Amino acid sequence: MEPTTFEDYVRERGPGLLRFAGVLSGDRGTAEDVVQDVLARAARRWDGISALDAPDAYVRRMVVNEYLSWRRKWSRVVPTAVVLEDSEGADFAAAHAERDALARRLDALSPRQRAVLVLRFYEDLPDRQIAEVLGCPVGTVRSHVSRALTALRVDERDPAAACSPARKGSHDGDH
Amino acid sequence: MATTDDLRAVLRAREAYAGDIDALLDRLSTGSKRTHRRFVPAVAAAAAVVVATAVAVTAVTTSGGSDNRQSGSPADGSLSARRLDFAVSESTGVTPWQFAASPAEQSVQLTYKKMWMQLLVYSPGNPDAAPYALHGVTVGNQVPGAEFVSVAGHPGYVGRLGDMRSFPPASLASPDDVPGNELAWQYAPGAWAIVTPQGAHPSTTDLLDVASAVDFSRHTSLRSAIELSDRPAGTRLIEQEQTYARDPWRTVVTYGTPSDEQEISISAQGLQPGPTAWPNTVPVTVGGLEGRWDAKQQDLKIFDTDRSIELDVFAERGTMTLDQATAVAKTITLTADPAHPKTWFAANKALP
Repeated sequence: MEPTTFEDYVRERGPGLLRFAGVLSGDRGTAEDVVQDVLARAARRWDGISALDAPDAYVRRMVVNEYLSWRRKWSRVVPTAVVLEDSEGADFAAAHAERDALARRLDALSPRQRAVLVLRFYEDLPDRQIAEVLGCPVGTVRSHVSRALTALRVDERDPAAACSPARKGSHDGDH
Repeated sequence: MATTDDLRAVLRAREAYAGDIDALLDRLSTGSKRTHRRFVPAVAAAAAVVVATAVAVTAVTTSGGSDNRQSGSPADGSLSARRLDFAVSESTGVTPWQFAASPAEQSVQLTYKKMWMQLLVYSPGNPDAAPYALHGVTVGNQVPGAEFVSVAGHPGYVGRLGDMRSFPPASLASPDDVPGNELAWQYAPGAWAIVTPQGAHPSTTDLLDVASAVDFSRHTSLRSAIELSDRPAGTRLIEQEQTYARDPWRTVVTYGTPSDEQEISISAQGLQPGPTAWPNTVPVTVGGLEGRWDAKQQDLKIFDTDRSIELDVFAERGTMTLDQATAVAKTITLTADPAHPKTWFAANKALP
């Protein structure tokens, strides 16, 4: 059941939107700015948005687009020349180092690639819905995912992920 | 090669960048913008720690299967000082970053949903919580407001352990300043574990999520930033604490005599900004490095200022002379790059 008033919506969904924007941007200030701008616009059109079947999905789409737009406006992508070593083994410290490196490689991705990964692996959306959010073909989504995972050096054929019913189900309809 | 589980964990860690909903609501109501448009360094540092400490606990050795994953070797005897006798599954969103092991208790500092919590696992019989009758419904009568819960089929409750501590004869050790409810559960007959919030207010569901991530059918290998060529004379390893966070990283190992008359703590950590004067100490040189000896505190500090590292040999109990402390210090080999725990030594081999 979606909240009915804008105030109810912000109180109920606002923290989740901020988390989502934080994961997208990796920057608290950007997250707050993006969500604030989106909510300010949403407030003016709330009657129409709240009448939609899924207002929250619509607002999240606004967050993604605002983030991508914001990145273009402010152009804060910093090129990195750091070559990160691969993990040597699967133990505590190796995994620690791997994730530390992975976090830095994630920041080096293009905003759109990062948005695709956040929608796929954080929001657990199927490719079809990701395509709807980004306004692009499903094939483009898959292409972004593939290239981003390659850049991150992430093996998508991870057995644990493949065997997880929830995750498997999330993308079955698209593959 | 990273896995998609690693990616999910890294993305979850970025929730630390979420921002302040109350401030956002205020600004929305007034139509104002944020005062500081750029990233606040302190927040960046905190978030970086969360990311940098995203540690996979899946890399452990299975110590024996069981239908009941909360049962296992710890219930069969004392815990170990050389490893954790359980594992924490990070796939649930729980991010452990500090580990302490001793025969009496083992602990993990962790982050879950941006909340800092501590997991404490006690060896069987320590403490003896039998009087609390957690197997039955009487717990509600003994701890006002307690909520009876089940963790993988094992009895427990959520409540204020501070209330429980007033009951004789035993007490479940826990910080006195716990802000909210804690979860205590009996993971095996006579063996207890506790999830304690540290400056956070997790819900019962959050506490149960953390408890459910604990797997007693596996153990967790640890790494140490230092290797010792020998242990202090007459002692054995009784405790170690390993903090894998890049800043501040830390290794603390404690050796004690069987009679508990003497305990010597040996530690290495990133050099913290501190006083430039060291009252009541005398300057010393150990292995070409400058240090300070505090005879009253029986504490030898050695500084590698080029690498911003501090080594410490400290007698927590008993007596220790400067010569003895120096001898202990000379047994220490520090890993080449302590800021990267991947380079740390396997604790079960590095700590005699």
